[in-house]
Amino acid sequence: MHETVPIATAHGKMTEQEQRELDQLLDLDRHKLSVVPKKKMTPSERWMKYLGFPGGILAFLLIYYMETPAGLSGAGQSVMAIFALALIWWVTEPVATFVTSLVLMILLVCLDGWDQKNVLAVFGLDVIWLNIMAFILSSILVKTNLAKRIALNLIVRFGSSAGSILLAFVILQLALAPLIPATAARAVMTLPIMMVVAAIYGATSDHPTNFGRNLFLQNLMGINIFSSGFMTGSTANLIAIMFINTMAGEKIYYTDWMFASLPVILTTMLISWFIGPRILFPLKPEETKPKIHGGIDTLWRQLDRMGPMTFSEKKAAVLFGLVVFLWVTDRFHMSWFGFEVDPVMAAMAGAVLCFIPKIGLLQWNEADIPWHLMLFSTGAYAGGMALDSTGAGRWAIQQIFGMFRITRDINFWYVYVGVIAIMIYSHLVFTSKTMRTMILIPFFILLAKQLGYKATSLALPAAFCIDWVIGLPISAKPNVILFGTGQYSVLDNLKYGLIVATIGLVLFTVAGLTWFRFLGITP
Amino acid sequence: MKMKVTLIKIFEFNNMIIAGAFSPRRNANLSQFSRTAAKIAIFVIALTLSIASFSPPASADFRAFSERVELSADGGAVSKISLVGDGAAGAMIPCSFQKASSASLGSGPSETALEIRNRGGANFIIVPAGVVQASAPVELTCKVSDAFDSAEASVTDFGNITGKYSFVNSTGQKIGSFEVTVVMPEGFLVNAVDEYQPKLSKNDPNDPFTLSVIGGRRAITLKCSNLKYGDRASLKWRMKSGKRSWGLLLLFLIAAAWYLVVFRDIINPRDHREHGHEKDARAKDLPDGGRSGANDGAAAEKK
Repeated sequence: MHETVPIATAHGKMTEQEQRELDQLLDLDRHKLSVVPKKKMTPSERWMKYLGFPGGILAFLLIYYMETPAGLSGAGQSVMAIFALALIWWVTEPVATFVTSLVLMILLVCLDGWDQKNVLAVFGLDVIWLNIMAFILSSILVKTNLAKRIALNLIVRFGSSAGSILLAFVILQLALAPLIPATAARAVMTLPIMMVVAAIYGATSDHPTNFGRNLFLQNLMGINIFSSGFMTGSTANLIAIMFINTMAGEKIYYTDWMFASLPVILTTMLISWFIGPRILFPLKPEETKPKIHGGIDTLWRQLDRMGPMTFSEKKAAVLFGLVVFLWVTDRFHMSWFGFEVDPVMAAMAGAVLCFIPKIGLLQWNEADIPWHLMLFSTGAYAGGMALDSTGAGRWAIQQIFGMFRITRDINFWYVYVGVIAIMIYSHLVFTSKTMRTMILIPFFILLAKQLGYKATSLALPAAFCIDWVIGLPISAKPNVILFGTGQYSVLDNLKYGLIVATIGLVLFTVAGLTWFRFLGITP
Repeated sequence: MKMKVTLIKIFEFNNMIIAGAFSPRRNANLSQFSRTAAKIAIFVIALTLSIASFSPPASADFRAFSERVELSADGGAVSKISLVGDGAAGAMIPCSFQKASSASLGSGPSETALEIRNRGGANFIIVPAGVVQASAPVELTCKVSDAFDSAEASVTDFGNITGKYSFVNSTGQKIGSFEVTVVMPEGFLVNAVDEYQPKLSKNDPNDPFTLSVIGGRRAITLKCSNLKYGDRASLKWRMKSGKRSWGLLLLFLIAAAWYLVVFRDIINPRDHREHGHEKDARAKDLPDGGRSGANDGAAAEKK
């Protein structure tokens, strides 16, 4: 590759100023994830922040003091009120998101929504541990400059424009989805590369730009949505298949799932890639090129200056590769080792290796762990789990279905659109894909049977939407990890997520009328 | 009498077998120990068969069992049981509470008192033969004084009182459809359902209980089907007064008003300058001492 680009001759040497500027840009120590960034706000964001605090309180008071609905428990009502307050505060950010989480946890306990023991136990959940371990692993890629090398390679090959580099990430996430089922693992792998690319394009946590918003949110979409392109994309997909198999007696094969779902997913992602930088977060002309003097040529020179891979980089690659290997080969662990290595344990083993003297690469102080993000996640998960445990989430879903007044003579397509909409948008309330699947898929199977249709006509398209958890940073593990970069706000996430989710709803409806019908899924 | 005849017949049959099996011609050297063991084994089989002869015929069962427990604030309750099924041989209906004071059949002038018998620590309502019929439901009423502990000492954190209901099918008959509704005392609401049985199954992950309002009072209904002999249906819940504290409302309203007054500077850029320390802190983080950032901020504000 170096032969095709004459670095030394065509581009000359880097000036001292260019070098200093580039070093400063790529110095990720200045943008540590563990430091809470200070954000500049637009006037509309200021208003939202100002009104968000009383707005959240108003929502809380309305729900908490209304007469308890017939099917809801007292604890369920309290949890709904608290979650509404937290949701408004997370979106409008009158206080930092992790402070809102702490408020939520205090209110859950003090208002008898959920036991203190349960609330505090959320900090010990696998998702929190995976996050901590993932950030340690991510730190070695940053510290050894391996992330910088990969990102530079990606940019010099695809980064002639912002559009092409964003597309490169879409393709990267598509390639990783069938290989690594754990969405959090995919987020961890690509996060350091995203951070370096964002820095080169001038997007940092201190100075977020629309390029950063597009880059991180598009990767968030890719990581989650591509999981629904493959039956093994997530555990929740497999649970849905189990329900369809046992309750409806219909067998779904890997290829059935892929052929039906993947075209819709690909179309959605391409539309998302197209509208993101053009309509949702339009890029200014200066944001479409790397923010360095000399552009791509300078990056080529920087890559050349880095020389061949250092021993530390190789070590980091091996350590990280080992964890990825364990993630990818999880189905063979039992036959190889006699036990299964869970993704969290694999990441933990990798983290242990990172800290071992002589073998490892990291000192504890160098591990960039955003603890504020852990607190935010803990509160968010506690809220979601309390909603589920008190039956409040289930009650809310039943109310929505009750509004439709579904009878046997209703048009199938009304029900179909309702089912897809509920499946896609319900992730805003339920923070667990598994719980959503456990509650909704059996319900849709029974609904299809009641209406006299094949169970798969509703349940399978609904199962394709399980992984569309794209609306909020609390909706899924990768969302939490990417939100930690401070490159976008909760509102940005909600805006992009809801628009893409609505595009998905339209595409799934069109697919139901055409492609799924052709495949014999819908009547 | 029936048991005696059965046992005699079984023993006669056993003696015939033992006589044949241990005859001197076939096995003269069989030890005394083996002979005793064989006799014990046969006796156990005989006993089992005898007990089995006492179990009700397979066809006899209750098609529907429906109970409504209306709790009162003093801890007492009235339990109304509705039964449909085969009651030709009479029935012993287990009562879920320890202190069942009186039971009756029907209501009004036709009300008949029923016996409550305690066996092994559990109360049973004795229903005479022929009362329960397959054609129409029969209503039993039972008064209970210990449905839950209403004493102040039993009120746990957040004013919760724990309530329990447990039905073990010891009627000797299968119950086709089982339903129990527990109506909370006036002014109480169900705060949480902590335990229930039957548990969620893989094929039907919906909770077996539902919450509702009956006559303005909060209620939990538990439904299940095919309750076999020994199967259990149970609920454990927390209930408390439905009144909410107005102090919290006041506190939150004050907090909202305080925020709107104290944080006006968020929407007012002029006031925002007073918070220069925030900008200073940010400026320290920026490579150019915050000059570009400050300019960007001013530009954004101008927009």
